[in-house]
Amino acid sequence: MTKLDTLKKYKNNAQSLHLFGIIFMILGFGLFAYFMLAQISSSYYTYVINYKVILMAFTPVVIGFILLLLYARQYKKYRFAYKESVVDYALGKVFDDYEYEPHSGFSLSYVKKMGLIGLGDDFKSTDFIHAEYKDVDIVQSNIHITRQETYTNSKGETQTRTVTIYLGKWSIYTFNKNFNEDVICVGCNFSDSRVGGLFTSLNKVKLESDSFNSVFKTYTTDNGHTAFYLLTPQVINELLIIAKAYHYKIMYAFIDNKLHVLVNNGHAYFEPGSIYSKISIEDEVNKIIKETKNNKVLIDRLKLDNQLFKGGY
Amino acid sequence: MNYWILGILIVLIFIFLFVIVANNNLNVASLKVEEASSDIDVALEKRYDLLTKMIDTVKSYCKYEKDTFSNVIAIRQGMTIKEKDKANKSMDDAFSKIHILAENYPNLKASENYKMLQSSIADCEEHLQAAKRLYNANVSSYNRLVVSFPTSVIAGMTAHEKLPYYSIDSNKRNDVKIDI
Repeated sequence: MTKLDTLKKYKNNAQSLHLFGIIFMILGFGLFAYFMLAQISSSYYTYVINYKVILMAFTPVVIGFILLLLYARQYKKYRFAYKESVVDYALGKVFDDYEYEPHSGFSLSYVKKMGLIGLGDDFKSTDFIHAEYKDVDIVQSNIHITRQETYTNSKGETQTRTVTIYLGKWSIYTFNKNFNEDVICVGCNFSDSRVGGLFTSLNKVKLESDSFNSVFKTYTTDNGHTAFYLLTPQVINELLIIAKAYHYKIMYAFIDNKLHVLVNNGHAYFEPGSIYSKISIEDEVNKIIKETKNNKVLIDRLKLDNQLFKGGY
Repeated sequence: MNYWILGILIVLIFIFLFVIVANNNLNVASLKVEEASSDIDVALEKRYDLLTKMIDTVKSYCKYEKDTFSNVIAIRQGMTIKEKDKANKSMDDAFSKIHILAENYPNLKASENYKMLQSSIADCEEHLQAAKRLYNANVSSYNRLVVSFPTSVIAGMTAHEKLPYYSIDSNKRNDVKIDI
C-alpha cells in the first residue's frame, strides 16, 4: 500500500467514524429529549420511563462518544500521514534540497528573544522547513499562539475563552546586504505586534514613498540610515506587492543580516482541510506547492541571491 | 478687570509654550538634517578611499594611463551640499573611466582585488544613495516646518531658512514611483 493509499484510508475511516459518532450522539440526545417530554406529559410511568431513558438514550450517546474518540485518534493519524506524504511530497517538488520536520518549529525562547510578537498563554510552532534556493537560506515555521481572555456574558457571568492572537507563518531568509542595525516594518493589518508603541526605544522612520508609509510603520534602531539603505525604491515596490497579497497582515524585520517575514493571516499552513472536503490529493499537493513557491517568488522579487554587496572589503 | 489680566496671562503662557515647542521642533529637525549630512560625508569619504584604492589597482595594470584620474576632487571636511555633489560627480567620472579601461585590460578585470573593490564600491554607493535619501527626507520635514504656519513665524524669528535638497540620480528617482 502506498503512502497516498494509506492517507485515503485514514481519511475515509475518520469520515465514517465522525459521521456515525455524530449520528449516534444525535440519536441518543433525541431519545433522551423524547422521553423527558413523555415524562412531563404523563407522570404515571415515571419509574419505567427513567429505566428506558438510561437504557435507550444513553447507550447511543456512549457509542457516539466512543466513535468520536476513535475519530479523534484516526484524524491525528490522518493529519500526520498528510504531513508526511502530501506536504513532504509537495516540498520535494519545490526544493531540491530541504529538511522538513512536521512536529517541530521555532522554540519559544527564540520567539521571545526576537520580541516581535506577543507570546500569549499557549505557544505552538510546527512544520519546520529548512531549504535553500539560489544559495539563499530559507527557514520557515508555522506559529499558533492563543490567549485566555475573561469576559462577561449577557447574563453578567464572568467566563473564559481562548482567543487566537497569531496564526500564520514565520519565514527567515539570508539578506543580500550586511547591516548592524535593525529595521522593522509593521503592516497596517498585522495584529499582535510588539514593535513600536509609546515607550519604544526604536525610532520611527518615514520613507519617501507615501504608498509605503500609508500601509507600513517603519522602525529602526539608528537614525534611519539603515532603513534607507535596505529599503531601496525597488525593494519598497516589491515589499508592497508581496504585502498586498497578504492584505498587509505582514511584518518585515531586518535583523542580524536576515529578513524575517511574519504573516499573521489566520491561515494554518500545511494543515489538511475538512475530512468532508471534495478536494483531491492532487489539488492539496498543488495548493502546498503554490504556498511554498511564494518563498522562491520573494527571493526572486527582492533579488536576495544578488551577492554584489556582500563580497567586498 | 482681574479676569482680563488672567486671560491675557493665559494667552501669553500659551504663546510662550508654543514658541518653545516650535523652536525645539525646528532645532530637532535641523539637527536631523545635520546628522544626515554627516552620513553623506561618511559615505563620500568611503567612496573616495575606495576610488583611491581602485586607481592604485588600475595603475598597477595600466601603467600608461596615469594622467586619466588627475581630476578627482578630494573630499574634505565642511563641504557644502553643492561641493559634495561636485566631488561625487567627479568620482562618478573616474569610475566610468575605470570601467572603460577595465574593458581593455582583461587581466585587471579578472583580478580578485578588482572584483572585491567593485563589490565594495557597489555597497558604498548603496550607502551613499541611502544617505542622500535620508538627507532629503529630513530636509523635506524641516522645510515643511519652515514654510508652514504658524511655525514659519518662529522660523523667521530664529533665522531658520529653507535648505537645498541633494540631487539624486535621475534613474534612482524614477524608481521611487510605486506601481502595483
